[in-house]
Amino acid sequence: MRRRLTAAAFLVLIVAAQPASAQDRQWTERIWIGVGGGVQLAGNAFDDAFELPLYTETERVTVDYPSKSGPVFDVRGGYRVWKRLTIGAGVTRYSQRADARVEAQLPHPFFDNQFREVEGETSTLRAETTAHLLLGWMLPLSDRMRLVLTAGPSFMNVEQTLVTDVKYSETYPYDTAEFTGASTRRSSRSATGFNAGADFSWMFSNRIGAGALVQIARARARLSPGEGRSITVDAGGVQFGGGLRLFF
Amino acid sequence: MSRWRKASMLACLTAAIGVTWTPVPSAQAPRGRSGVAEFAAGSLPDLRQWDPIAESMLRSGELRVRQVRQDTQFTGRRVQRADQYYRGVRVFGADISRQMDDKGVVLSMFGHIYTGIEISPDPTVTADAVRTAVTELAALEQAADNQPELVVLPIDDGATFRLAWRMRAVTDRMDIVQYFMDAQTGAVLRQYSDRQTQSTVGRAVGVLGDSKKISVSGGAGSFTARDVLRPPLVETDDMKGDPIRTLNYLDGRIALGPNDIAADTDNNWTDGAVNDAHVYAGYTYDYYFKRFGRQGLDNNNIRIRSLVNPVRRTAQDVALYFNLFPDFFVNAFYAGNGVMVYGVGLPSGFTLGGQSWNHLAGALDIVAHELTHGVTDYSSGLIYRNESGALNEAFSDIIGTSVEFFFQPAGSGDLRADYLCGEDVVKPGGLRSMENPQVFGDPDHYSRRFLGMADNGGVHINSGIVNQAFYLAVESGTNRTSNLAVQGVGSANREQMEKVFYRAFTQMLPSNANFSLARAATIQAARDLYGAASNAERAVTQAWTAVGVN
Repeated sequence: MRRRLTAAAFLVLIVAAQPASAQDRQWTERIWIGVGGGVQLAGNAFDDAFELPLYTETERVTVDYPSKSGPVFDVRGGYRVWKRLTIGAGVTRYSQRADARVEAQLPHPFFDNQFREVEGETSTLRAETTAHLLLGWMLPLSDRMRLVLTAGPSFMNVEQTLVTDVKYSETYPYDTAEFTGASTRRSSRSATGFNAGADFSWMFSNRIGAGALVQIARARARLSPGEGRSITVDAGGVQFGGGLRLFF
Repeated sequence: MSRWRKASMLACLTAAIGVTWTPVPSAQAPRGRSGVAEFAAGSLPDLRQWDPIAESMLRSGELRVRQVRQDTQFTGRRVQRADQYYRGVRVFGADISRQMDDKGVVLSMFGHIYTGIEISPDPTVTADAVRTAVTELAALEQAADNQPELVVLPIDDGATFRLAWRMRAVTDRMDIVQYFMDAQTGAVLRQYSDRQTQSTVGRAVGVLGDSKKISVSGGAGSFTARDVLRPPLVETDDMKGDPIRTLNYLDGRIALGPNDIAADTDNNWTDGAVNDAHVYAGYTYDYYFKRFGRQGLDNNNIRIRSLVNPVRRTAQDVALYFNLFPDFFVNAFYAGNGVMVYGVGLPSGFTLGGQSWNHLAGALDIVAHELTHGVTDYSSGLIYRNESGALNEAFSDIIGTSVEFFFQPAGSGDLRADYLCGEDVVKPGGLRSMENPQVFGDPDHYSRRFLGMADNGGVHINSGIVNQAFYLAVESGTNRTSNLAVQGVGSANREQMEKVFYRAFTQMLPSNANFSLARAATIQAARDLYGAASNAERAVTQAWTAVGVN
């Protein structure tokens, strides 16, 4: 993860290191808008372990939530308030399903200290809806190429399917049990983080162009699987995307 | 009477007697208005208006008497229950109950009747198709006599009705589910669990103070010793120190009811006798199932019922009842039909034969011993006298000991597996020794067998000879009388000898078998299971020879 962050920051720096001619170019438009999609890289895997009472003993459950790259939809825009400085906002939506690995030790209904091991997978959803405040610096690289560097705080709503118990089937004599699924609940929490990114545009005309975006947005949310427990998870990540760019 | 008139009258009457009437909101016309009449007619005016309608419906077949029972709380009164039918099809959940005096005069009436049913009573989907579908849903083959019933199913309190097949099915998850399938389309209209006993697991303290799990039923402050997690119903009844009631039950004069089932309010069970009888009965069932694939005493999951506390374990009850009912104190016995009775032992300070006696249900081998009498009863039926009786007793001792070794670590002392019988509750030493029967005065060799009439021809005495043979066939050793050495299969292979004796005693022996026949049967069983000239055959042959049985 750290390597990805470093690479993204390096990319932003390279793109931002403009020749003097670019610095001298004028940027006449006041408003810029970007609409597009892309992908958010994996990097937020986490795990959970909890216990539940069962048959007068303790059922132990561990869950590994994988992280998968997934599609991102992004809308953003800004208003040039002074020279090349813009203030803007954006919304990013990431949603991806992944199979969480569930393992449990189930006590035997008749005998103490005789646990049945079950394991399986259950589909979980991770969705992140992020509102970004964007403080930007506009860099016209050439007549057709433009770059907007942005950074600012992000307000992220993290939604995650969390496993709350294991479903299983068992039949007499109950010496084994079979995983049939998991009980889950949808936990949703908001968190504040940050964003930093670079948006490169290739203009087809004076106002319309195609853009490529690299951005990192991070936050840390405390989710609640119930029973008074909480799980702290990382959210966001490195996003690559492209789409339509408009300048007015 | 037409449906319209009846619906109108129902509406009028229910209004008149203050009952609720729930028509379909959108249905305005009286004819065909769907709804449910819920009535509680207890006064004479109410009954005068309602009863003629009920009588009319009974005459027309729209109500059909399902049951007439005597009112157990009022002599002479009876309770009649009738179901509503629509064009020959029962309306699910629509019935009335009429309380009558001895002359047939209706005294009160309660129930639900649906009106405005207008559906075809002819199903498109066949009963066979429903059985197949339900079998798939339940993931368990249903009994051949479990047939679906065609019913009219009220939807939304009678707002609409569907012709449905109802089938109650046991599922692979041991649930009992009511399925309602649309008789025209086959779609599942409704399903719910109909298992009216909720299984639960609690904690129990045994006679010896040990903590264990107990499988019971109930919830919310009322738990009963009914184990429904195992295939047979395993039930334990607390006779609450009432020997007369216990005797009356055993004599068939009374039946036990729900109040006799041992109960607990918080699922932390503290009556050791109840707990051990209940838990150990389950263990014994488990042993038979896991070791031999046997399903209970009759191999058909007959109910296992244990009776505990037939007397109180007090000096007063000893004085009152010991001479009358000694078995309720210092014995445990199989009473037939899956019923076991466990004595309470003797109160502190009392001894018998120099030994103290705790609750007999507190010993796993004793519980397994008694249940094994049931297995014998349903298999070989070994006659309980002379040598066949001794074989009967010995088989119970053998299985009792085997169950101990199955569940408890080997060793000496409480809750340890050994070759003593009942040593956990009859102290010191227990009741019998398989390793050295002579310790208790029992013969370890055929030449020493008891030939008197007492004890049904020495069934608890001569069992020592067979017990010794089993012990030697497992553990090896030398018989103290014959001085013949036996090379057993070894404790690690005890299972082999358990299977040999189980096979011989449940599948081969006739009811009047003698020791010699038992020898031949066990040798044959060893050959069947482990081959001719196998270690098992050698061990069992040497063992019988060592105890003088040829």
